[in-house]
Amino acid sequence: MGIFSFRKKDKKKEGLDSHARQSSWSSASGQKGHAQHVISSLYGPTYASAALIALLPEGVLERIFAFVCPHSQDETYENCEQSALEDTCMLCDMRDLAHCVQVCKRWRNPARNLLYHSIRIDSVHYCEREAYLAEMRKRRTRFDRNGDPEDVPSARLKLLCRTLREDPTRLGSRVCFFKTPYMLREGAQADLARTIAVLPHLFYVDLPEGLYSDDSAYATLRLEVEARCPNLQKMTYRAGSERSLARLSHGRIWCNLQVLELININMDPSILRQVLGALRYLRALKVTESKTFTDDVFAYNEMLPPFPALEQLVLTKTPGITSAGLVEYLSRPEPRMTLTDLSLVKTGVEVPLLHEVVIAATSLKSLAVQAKVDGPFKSGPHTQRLTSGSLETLRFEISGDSGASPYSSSAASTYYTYLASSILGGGLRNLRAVYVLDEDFADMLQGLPPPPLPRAPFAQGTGSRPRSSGSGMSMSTSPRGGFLAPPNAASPDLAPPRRPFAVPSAPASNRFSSNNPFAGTGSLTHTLEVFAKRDEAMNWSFVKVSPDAALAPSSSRHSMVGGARHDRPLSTYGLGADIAGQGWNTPGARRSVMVGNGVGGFVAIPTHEPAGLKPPGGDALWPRPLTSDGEKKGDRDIWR
Amino acid sequence: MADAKPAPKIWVQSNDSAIIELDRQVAERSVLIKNLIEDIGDEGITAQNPIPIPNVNEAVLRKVVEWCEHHRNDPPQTQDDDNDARKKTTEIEEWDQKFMQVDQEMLFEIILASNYLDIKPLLDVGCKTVANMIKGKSPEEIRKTFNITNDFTPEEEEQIRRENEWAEDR
Repeated sequence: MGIFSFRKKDKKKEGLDSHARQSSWSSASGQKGHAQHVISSLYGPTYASAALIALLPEGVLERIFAFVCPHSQDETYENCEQSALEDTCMLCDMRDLAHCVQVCKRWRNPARNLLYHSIRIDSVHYCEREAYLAEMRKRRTRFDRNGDPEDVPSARLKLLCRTLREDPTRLGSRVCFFKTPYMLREGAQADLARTIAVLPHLFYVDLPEGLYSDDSAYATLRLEVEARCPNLQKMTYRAGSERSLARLSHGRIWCNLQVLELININMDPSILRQVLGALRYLRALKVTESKTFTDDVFAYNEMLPPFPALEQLVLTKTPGITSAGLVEYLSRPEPRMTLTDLSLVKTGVEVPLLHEVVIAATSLKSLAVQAKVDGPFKSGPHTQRLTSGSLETLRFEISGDSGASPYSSSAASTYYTYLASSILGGGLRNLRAVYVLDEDFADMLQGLPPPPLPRAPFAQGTGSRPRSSGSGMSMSTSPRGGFLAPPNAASPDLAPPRRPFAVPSAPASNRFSSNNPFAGTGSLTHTLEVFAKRDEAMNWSFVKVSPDAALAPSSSRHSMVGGARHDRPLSTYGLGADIAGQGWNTPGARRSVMVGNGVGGFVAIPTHEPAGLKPPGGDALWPRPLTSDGEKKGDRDIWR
Repeated sequence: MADAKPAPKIWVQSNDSAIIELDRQVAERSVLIKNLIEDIGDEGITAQNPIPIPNVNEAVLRKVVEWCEHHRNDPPQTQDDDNDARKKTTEIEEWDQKFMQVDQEMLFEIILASNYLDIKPLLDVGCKTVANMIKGKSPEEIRKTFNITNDFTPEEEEQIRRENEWAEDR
């Protein structure tokens, strides 16, 4: 009797199980792709189709399984939370892939290749199956001795650990990426260490925060990772882990690191150089809040290995770094050819000297500058326009230090005047996207009134400047024009060409005529995207806005939330957010598309379609801010 | 104007000796044919001397050509796109969905043909279709769907079940 009742229960459970599967599946079938499934499944298999499926080569099978479980292709050095895919349930995908392993011998190997390449353990299902499973768990725990519900992720980790330890040569050696959710990696240290012990080929693994700062509680785990995972590609060091960092210089630990992040690390520049010199494959470096990371790090020294040639260099709050140090670094041919992304956030690099860095970095594609200024742009005898043949994306976020001076906000606008003159001067030939904290920047590029003083190099916005549609701001006369008279007249390349026929106050209808002072200074015929937002918008820029067409204003000043859906340039090194910035998907950000008007200026393209945002000439080719694709990932900073 | 000139033609021959004429631009959706034309030049290819496609029969070849005709103006895929495509979900364009409303035999024929002819986007559409048929099914249901024989011994099956326990729903 007892047996029968159990069987009955099992049957019931099975029935419920398949019902839940069906229901979760039928909800998914609302999606476009799944409608196909319904139709295809109408056609049953035949002998011929079975013979054909047996012919599919392993590569094709792997491709199919990659679509069954898209996150098995995740090869980013981002942690579990940040590399999550949003439009799918990853636990379901993983289970389906595991089912493929069980189908037949032919499928087993290719499915295993994927299942064990990039493993991630998620806490919950992101589909309605979670509700059903939660219900099932309640029933199970009713009979549990302690009455404690099972911690699903840690049970999963224990089982994975068992599987990997039982077959380390065939399964453990396939694992290259291993990601676990925050609560699990902080809590299940022992299981994590046991699992990592059999994963010799790991490139990236999520580790508890304490390990990065050399917390003594994590010493064993650190030793385990150092000993068992020689191929790690990304590592973070926080304040307190200076000694561990210094040990890298021996070249025995993690000598294949490609990405290194230093947070609050204050150590002697010469030791740091030894460390960096030992990392032969280093491609990306991020330094945050360091007072000792100064120009000395880049300085030439016969006794020390040279600072490595990096592709991405992200410096945040490093006041000791100035343009002189960067120029010295870029004077060597190798770094000059390699460096493509540079981010300078609150560093010692002064904007008037930024042009030196830009000229020196001949391969630079993306540059981010963020600074607070307390005075207007100071041009000197050596001040030049920004000139670069390679630069494609420029984030120029200068804001006034409101505490320093009541005029600081207008002081910031002088920096934008400088930037506008650089763009109009034609020095930035390949620039396709510019991000500014000045809503009227786009107007500045197309307004183009003649300067009141022909000598003033960067002056162009004056009171006589025609109001552009909707700008509605009252431009103060003094800060933008006039005060920038060069102290030294011997900088001819700065002065706009004199136009003898230029009328001091050009009427609005003539704004694009050859009267404009920058006409002829460069043949700008390309399209430029201007992303602008007010500084205040920074405060609520972390609000995640779903790309709802209703949110996008239909006027020409639409927000970026309705951005065209295409893949953003993803950084392999996980530095994407630093390069492309964050907080640009808010309604406070404004996007303008400008095209050259043939005489050196820009014309804004009116955008009528609210969601399309497709400027002519292939939108997909242009770098866009990471966050403009808010639909996919939102505006999270990958470094946290 | 260049448009006035008729589009250059290419002829391909299926394994059952059917000769199909198509625009060169359409044929170049296949990387295999594109490379072949680049190597030997298109002067040598005529209705009498078509490119033989030994692995593909006429019905499948016509189906593949139909897809290529519809997607003739798509931008060519780069290596990066190829990698990105895998990160994407299994969503399929509406036209492609309709195109793939075929029996399983034809579906696998198309996959094999696009793999042979190196038409990655078509291969992806086919793979996505199969992936969607796999999703949400137990191993037994997958076998039933595709008429695959279970060639594991009960012991092996138990071993794999144990091995996969970590990935199962809990």
